[in-house]
Amino acid sequence: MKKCYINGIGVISAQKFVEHSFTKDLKCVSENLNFAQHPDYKEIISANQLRRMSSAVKMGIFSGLKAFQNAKIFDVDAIIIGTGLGCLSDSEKFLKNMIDNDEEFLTPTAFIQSTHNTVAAQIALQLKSNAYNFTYVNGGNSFESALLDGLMQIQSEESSNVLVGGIDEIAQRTHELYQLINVIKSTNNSVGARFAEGSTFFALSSEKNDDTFAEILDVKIINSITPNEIELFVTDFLKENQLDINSIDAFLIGKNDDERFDSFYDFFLQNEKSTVGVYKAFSGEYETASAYGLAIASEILKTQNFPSILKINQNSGKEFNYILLYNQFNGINHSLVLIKKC
Amino acid sequence: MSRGVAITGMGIISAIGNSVEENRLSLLQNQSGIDKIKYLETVHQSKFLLGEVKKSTDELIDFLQLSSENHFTRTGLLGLYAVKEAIENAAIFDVNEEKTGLISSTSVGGMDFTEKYFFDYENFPDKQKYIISHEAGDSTNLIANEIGLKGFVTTISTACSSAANAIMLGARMIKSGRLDRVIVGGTDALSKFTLNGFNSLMILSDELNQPFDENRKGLNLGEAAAYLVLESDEMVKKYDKKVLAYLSGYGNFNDAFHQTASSETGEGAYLAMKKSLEISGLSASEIDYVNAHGTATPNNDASESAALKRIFQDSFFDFSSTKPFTGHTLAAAAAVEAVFSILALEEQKVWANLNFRKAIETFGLIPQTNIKSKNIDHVLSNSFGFGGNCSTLIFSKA
Repeated sequence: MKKCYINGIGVISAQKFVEHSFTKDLKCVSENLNFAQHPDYKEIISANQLRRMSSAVKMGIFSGLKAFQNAKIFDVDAIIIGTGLGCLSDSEKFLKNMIDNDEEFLTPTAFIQSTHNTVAAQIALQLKSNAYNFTYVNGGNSFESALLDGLMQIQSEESSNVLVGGIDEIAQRTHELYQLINVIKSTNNSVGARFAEGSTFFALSSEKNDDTFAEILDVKIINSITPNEIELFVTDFLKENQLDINSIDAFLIGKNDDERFDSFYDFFLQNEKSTVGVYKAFSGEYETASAYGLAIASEILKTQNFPSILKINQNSGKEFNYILLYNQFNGINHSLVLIKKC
Repeated sequence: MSRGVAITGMGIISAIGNSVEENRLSLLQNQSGIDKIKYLETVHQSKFLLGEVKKSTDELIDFLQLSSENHFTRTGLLGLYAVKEAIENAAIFDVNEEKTGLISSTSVGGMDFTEKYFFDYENFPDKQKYIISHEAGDSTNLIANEIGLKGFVTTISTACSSAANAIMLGARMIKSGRLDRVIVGGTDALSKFTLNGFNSLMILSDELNQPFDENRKGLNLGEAAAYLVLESDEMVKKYDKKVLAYLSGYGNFNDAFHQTASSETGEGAYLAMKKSLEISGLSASEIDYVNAHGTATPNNDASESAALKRIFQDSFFDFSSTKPFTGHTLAAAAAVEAVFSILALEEQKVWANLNFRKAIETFGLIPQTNIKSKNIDHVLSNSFGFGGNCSTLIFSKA
């Protein structure tokens, strides 16, 4: 079985766009809806194309190609994407036109771009790539579904180079409705999480190089567990990888500012040895925010520096060999990702 | 040589029946399910024909005995209906007994409810439970909860090829040893959103669809859900399972040509078919029946014909599209046609390509227009979608 390395990363998030050093100068997101800070897309995408692209497509192509370029690869064998809500703004646009015009006089552009697989398709077009092309849409572990597929592609030698990404965009009405049902905060004091949007891509490869960030050991997802079952979920997963909880130097968890789901993270905070960190204060919450978490964790393994701004406990390791990421979204669709220093 | 991954159960609800047996009977009797619009509320009611499932949303809720607090939309309801039949058919009584997964697919997700209340949710507090159902993965999650599954659950959305990719992923999960058995397939309910979307693209026919016909006018939309149960050889042995068929090959490629149109040479389709043959270890001449994607749009059928000719070259092959029975059921289509492919293996019959009159001049390919009995060991099934997503599956006799 081949090993799977992260050789390139591209990130667009609510933080200022940077090509490297993703953990430098992080600022807490402060709005209830935090839009991405967009890079200069013209560097990669022509102005003519840009005019027709939704932010999901723009973010996806740009961060995808950045990961691809950083890994110094020239071809991919698979393009695999996870997105919770897909190309939401184009879906809303077509829906609004349809309702406003009572199903008459509709143009197809927004419909064409509304399908969930648009970003993966546009990356294939941009790279002129006939490669394996998949889009996962499973809420809070859409990205981990894509990552697991990528890992399996490499391990089974179906692919040598794989592009895996997680993308979600803010669209006006859907996010307004999420505020109505308290998934997203409406005011500072209301229930819900601070939301955002973003796109994070990884170039996975079966070959290690000098710039490799980390090795992905395993990924596991589960639809439903209770907070009490987290411990067993984690220990079983580590056992499957011939490790135990003491081998893990740091946990990076998907805890956000919605306290209703805090009990899922208790198990990690109870440990007395390992460093525990969070990232959603910087990425904001969205279905594929955990891809941002993996970018941060990968950088920690590469630099061996765990920025104190991320830490939420007092334990501080000297060396970081293994990091375990755990995430859930609204109490369902849980995931574990285990990565190792190279 | 491995025969592939065992298929031990299947379930389906489509325009031609609410069970595998009803679908089998309709195929045997050349009975199409495409008709005037009865259930979907749309201003185009008299203009288009649809392959609707012959049950209202309330009837589905009653049949499935769901509580009044449920927030299933029609997509999830159809999915649950077919998943239940598939599990029963595979004689699975405790879904958590072995490492079991559910891989579903959908393109519309909860759009059928979103489009009803999108700008009015504030005025309908009792409908707000459906806001969260818009997300495509929610239907899968609800189905998993209802059958009591706690495990690997995910959702794929690659437009009209979605279910083929769910089936393919399921096979890879079994082969890699990550799962012992997995329920795979897709579900899509009809919605005004998709009807108007396809109408805006001007690829809907106002008559019965005619795949591979020179004068084809476009597609009829349909709705359906269909699922297979895949199991490892160990499971088959341990539980002495009856194997319905084997999934022996699969291929996924991107046409990388255009967001909604297929290339003239059918590059993505050609590569997907070629790869599925490689994985199955079969040559094109060993394929006894091709269940084509055949949506009856001018573009798809031309592109698919070109790709088929590249695969089969000058040799004769039996093929048909079953879209005239069910309409194009989008994300569910590949799972519906997987069930039809397995039924073709069971019945040893090539299903009819209804409504065909005249071959496309450029290609001269003539589909099988009547049911044909013949020896069938291997069926190749194509599914292509927007975004250039092209997938092929090969089913082999048990």
